[in-house]
Amino acid sequence: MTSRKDVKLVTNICLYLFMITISLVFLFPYIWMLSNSFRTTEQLVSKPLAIFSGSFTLQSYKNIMSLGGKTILLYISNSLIITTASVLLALVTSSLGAYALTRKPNLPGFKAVMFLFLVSIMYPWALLVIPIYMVMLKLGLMGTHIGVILAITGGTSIALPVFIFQQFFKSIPYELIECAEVEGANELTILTKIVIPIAKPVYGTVALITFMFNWGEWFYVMVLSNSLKTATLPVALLNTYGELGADINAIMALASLISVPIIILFIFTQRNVMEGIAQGSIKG
Amino acid sequence: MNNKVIDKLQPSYHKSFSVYDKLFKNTSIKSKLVFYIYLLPLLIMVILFGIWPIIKSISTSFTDSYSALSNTPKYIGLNNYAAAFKDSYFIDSLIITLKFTLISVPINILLAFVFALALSSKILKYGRTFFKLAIFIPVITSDLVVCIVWRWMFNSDLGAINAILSALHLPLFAGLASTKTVLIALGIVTLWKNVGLYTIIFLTNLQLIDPALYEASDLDGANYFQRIRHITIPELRPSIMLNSVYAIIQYLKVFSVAKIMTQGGPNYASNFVAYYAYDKFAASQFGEATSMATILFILIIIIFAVTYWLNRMGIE
Repeated sequence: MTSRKDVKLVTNICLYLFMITISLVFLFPYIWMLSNSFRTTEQLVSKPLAIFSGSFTLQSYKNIMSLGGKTILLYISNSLIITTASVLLALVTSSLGAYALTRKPNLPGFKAVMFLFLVSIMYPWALLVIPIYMVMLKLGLMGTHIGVILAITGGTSIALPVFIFQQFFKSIPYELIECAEVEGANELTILTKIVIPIAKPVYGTVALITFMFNWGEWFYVMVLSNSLKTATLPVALLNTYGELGADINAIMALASLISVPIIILFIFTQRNVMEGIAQGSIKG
Repeated sequence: MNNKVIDKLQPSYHKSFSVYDKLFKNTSIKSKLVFYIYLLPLLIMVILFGIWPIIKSISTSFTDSYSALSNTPKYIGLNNYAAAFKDSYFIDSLIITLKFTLISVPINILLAFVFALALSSKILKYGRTFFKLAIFIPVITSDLVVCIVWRWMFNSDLGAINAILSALHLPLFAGLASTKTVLIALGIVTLWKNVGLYTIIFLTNLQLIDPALYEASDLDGANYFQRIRHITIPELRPSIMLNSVYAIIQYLKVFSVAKIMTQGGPNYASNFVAYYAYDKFAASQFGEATSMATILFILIIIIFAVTYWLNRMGIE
């Protein structure tokens, strides 16, 4: 009896040791990034691992208040505008599209659309950048906010929202809709009075997930911006590489400024976000 | 004047109305049309940023780079493809990408499986959410931030990795600086970034397994490992497949780590196909770049189709 209890205790301790070690490995880069954003380069060089010691300084954050001759507020407002607009665009296009594809999968052409959609997300996204660049030139949207918003919505982030909505629309009780149809409600009423109200939590989840991913988007923004007019925080970080040289602490401050708000948002919404991403992925 | 205009408009208004009437009196057509309208915004996005660029990219792969962006591109057949397969850097980049994928994917899937088992374990009473968060946070962190922070962590003078190793009296790790270790370093970074996603997918599916199956095996006196082998793994088969397909596609497309952390180096050791093709773009070699992109695209589709087909065979 005691031996069995001992075995249980040992497994318990091993499991906790394992999980704590793993968690430390996963969290360490964040701790390192944050602590160095509050330290000086001298401290980092002399005591690379003393991450909780030494004086606390906001100098790195002061150094990033102005980047490329522009105030950081420009980058922050660009990030907020571009991310929010792309989230709204993704919500509208993906929810309506997924609803149509899920409710009437057999309409002529719908299967083909779904197929093309799946094929297009298999293309190496980084390599679509030249044709998308050409599309933008043709549309006259190069270097504009609208161009960047369209490209990061359509080019990279629309797939997961579509999958999450499809997964949800598959699960709603269709008796409700049939009832409304029998009572003579038209499709628009069904959408606005029945489907959208029950999908509200999914809209919330998709908005959160898309916001988190689009906030960090850098590649399309970089390629489609021809000036700092549309530069977001990640683009500032990319440019900072050159500008700040080896000012590693300032780079860590900017990296923290980009990632920490998203992590905090995630911690408060983790259940929805993880479930949403898992659901959307299972569909794919 | 006003009346005249209205008079003139009236008949055509009627006409168009009657056409409308004819089209939509049939409610089934009308109700179908609504769904095409719902689909339209998404379709426009997919065409504008998916289909059209892909077609454009594939057609560019048959043109001479100098004329690729002009209005009258010069088509040169499969020359770019022939050149790509003669380019030893490209062949090497294919080998590097495949090697990186073949080694990384099983490690990712195996670790994700172990993490999911640990996270779903009944004896884990405290901190489950914390552990889950720790593993998943990299998934929602910008890959740019991930690459930049890890690049500095691998730095031999300032970085944390070698500081930790030397504190533990272990041999130092050359990281991104050596051709021998650069793929290991990038493998660690991509694993750290991606494994949370696969873990959560496993975890979600583990929770769907019928507990009665485990109870039955308990009665049969099966031990922990027998239960995993005979119940958990067979039940998780679809998600193992899904995760593998995901991971394979993700790894074949690997780009950010090369672009930000290594620029394909040192000495082309991390010159992945997506990065090499992008590098060709940057050098205005559009024909070569798009032909390499197309080759990678075809490779991804073939691998996807084969895994999908194997999976269906397995289910039937």
